[in-house]
Amino acid sequence: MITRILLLLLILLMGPQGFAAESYLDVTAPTSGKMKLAIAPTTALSGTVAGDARELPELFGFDLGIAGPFEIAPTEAGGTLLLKSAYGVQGDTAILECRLVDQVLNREVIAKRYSGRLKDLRRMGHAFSDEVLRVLTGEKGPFTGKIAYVSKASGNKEIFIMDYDGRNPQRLTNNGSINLYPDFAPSGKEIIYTSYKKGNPDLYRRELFTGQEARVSARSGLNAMGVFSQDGNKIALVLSKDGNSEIYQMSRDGKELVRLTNNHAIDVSPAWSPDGSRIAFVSDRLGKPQLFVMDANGGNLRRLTTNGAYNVTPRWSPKGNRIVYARKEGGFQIYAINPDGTGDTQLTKVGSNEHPRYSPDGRFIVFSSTRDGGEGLYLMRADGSGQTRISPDRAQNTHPTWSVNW
Amino acid sequence: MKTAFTRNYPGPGGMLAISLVCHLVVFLVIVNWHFLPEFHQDETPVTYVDMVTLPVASPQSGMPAPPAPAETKAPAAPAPAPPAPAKPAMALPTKPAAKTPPAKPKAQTEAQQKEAEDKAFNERMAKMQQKAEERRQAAVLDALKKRGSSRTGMPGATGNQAGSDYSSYLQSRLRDALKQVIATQTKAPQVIATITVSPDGSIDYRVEKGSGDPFFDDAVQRAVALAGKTLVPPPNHTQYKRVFRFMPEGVK
Repeated sequence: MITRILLLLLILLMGPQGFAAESYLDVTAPTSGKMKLAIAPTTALSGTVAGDARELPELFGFDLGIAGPFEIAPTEAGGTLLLKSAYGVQGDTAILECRLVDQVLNREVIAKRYSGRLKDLRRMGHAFSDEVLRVLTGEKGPFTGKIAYVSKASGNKEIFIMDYDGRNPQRLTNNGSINLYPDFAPSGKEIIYTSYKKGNPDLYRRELFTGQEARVSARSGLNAMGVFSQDGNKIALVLSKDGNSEIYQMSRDGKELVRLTNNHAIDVSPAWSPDGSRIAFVSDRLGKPQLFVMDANGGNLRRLTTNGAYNVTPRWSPKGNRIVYARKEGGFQIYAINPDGTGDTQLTKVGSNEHPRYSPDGRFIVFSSTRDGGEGLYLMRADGSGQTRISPDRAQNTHPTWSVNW
Repeated sequence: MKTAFTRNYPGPGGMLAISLVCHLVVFLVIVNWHFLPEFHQDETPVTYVDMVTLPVASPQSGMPAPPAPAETKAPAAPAPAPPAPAKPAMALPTKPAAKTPPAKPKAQTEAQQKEAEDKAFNERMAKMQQKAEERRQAAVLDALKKRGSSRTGMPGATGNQAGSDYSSYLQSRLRDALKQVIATQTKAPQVIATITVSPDGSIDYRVEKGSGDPFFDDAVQRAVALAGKTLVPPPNHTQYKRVFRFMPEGVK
């Protein structure tokens, strides 16, 4: 009793002074959070600036403006940082010199010199934008990655590939059939997709540079929604060879097959966690399509979404902290949720928005939307801000997926 | 029941001791937690801007003697025949009286004489009051200097304290600079840095605690550099050193 009283006495004697914080002089300022970045017109290393090079300031402005941390200053003097570029041609080789200058500390932050084919000029510009993000945020940008998507530009649903900003669209498949669900290998050099070109929806793997292709799964019924694991050695996919759709895990050559779900309901849309230990997927085993998460061997199943009556197409963020998906509410809207089921947040509100996929660095989400009439491709930051159309044309474009940097 | 009570009852001596301890605890709580105003100590740095201007706080200090007699004279004069406009010349209050026409009645002359005497008396009183006020202010200032020389923001401070002129000046310059270059990637970054200004006015800073937000860390560096471009050196050719905390507005 006496000890307790003495202890209380000691605590009271310490009083608030015992916890008093050291005093500082505070310096505060209002902020939008964004760093002011000015972009100078491209100059010529020799002679005059070619037409394509004149587009470079616009390219830098788009890349770094959509990135989020920057506010593009209207004048060179208005920027804390100034991005300068100079372009020249030597024979068939284009040379691009880029510098980022800190105008306050009067020092060069980063300088790069690129050389390559004339047609690669935009890629050089995107590469410098990647570097600007790396040096300022510690994480490289995704701007030299490619986006594969399904387009009806040719009349049929074919797989296309384009720059992340919608430039340089190229057709990958040309079989006049239906081609769906493209997914890049972790290397970015291969793609898997489902095609009806031989009648059955089979899964194909294609090398992008050689054009070589292999049919990796041609089991009866559906062979669809294939996604590479992070190490590229396994593919999770949907097979309906036994009657209804189930989730399977398969080796990249298609030979080894492990069934992960065994249920009378429809199980579709598998999505690997970045560490390969778990798979999110969609199942209607409780009546309506909802997101579930299971271990990569099919065990430890639990329901992820509890809001909304119709939740589909999950994709795990590269950092593993979020899962983005589409919810049907009349049309579809894109949501993101923590893997433990908390933090369910709506990201889109206009039009019908589907097929969300994270960029390889997790900064962005690419998705398809009907907000401007036909179904087109859009880009937004992972928090839903900065929604921008990137479709290269007015054709129906869906199912985008973003590769690592080429 | 009775046995249990007997076993816990500490006896009159024990009860007295517990009572004493309880009273002591209550007393210390009151003292330590500042329930009594005379024990209150303000630990937060305060800028006493008004204290700095104390020596000239009285608007009358250094001015000519107040025209106090002018107000007292009016009821005393029965017939205000002399021209009133002669009064504004405060330094020459008696002149109008000297120039009054000789044809005036004797009663009026006496009244004016009395008025002049009153005025002189009032002037002397005003001077005495002013001196007393100055002495009082000086005494207050001395007391504040003695008491506040080790506290921030007080007269007599060396310039290294919060609220002192140079601290406020530098704080203002840093704030203006930070406004121009601030950028953040996190919600509530804070940088704690020791700023040193050499006698020649050159500025240096050492980060005591970074924010973990490279955008904000860089912004603070830029703000210090920007503020240092046009900085006035510290007073008395001394080195100035103080810890500042940088953060976005509204962050606690």
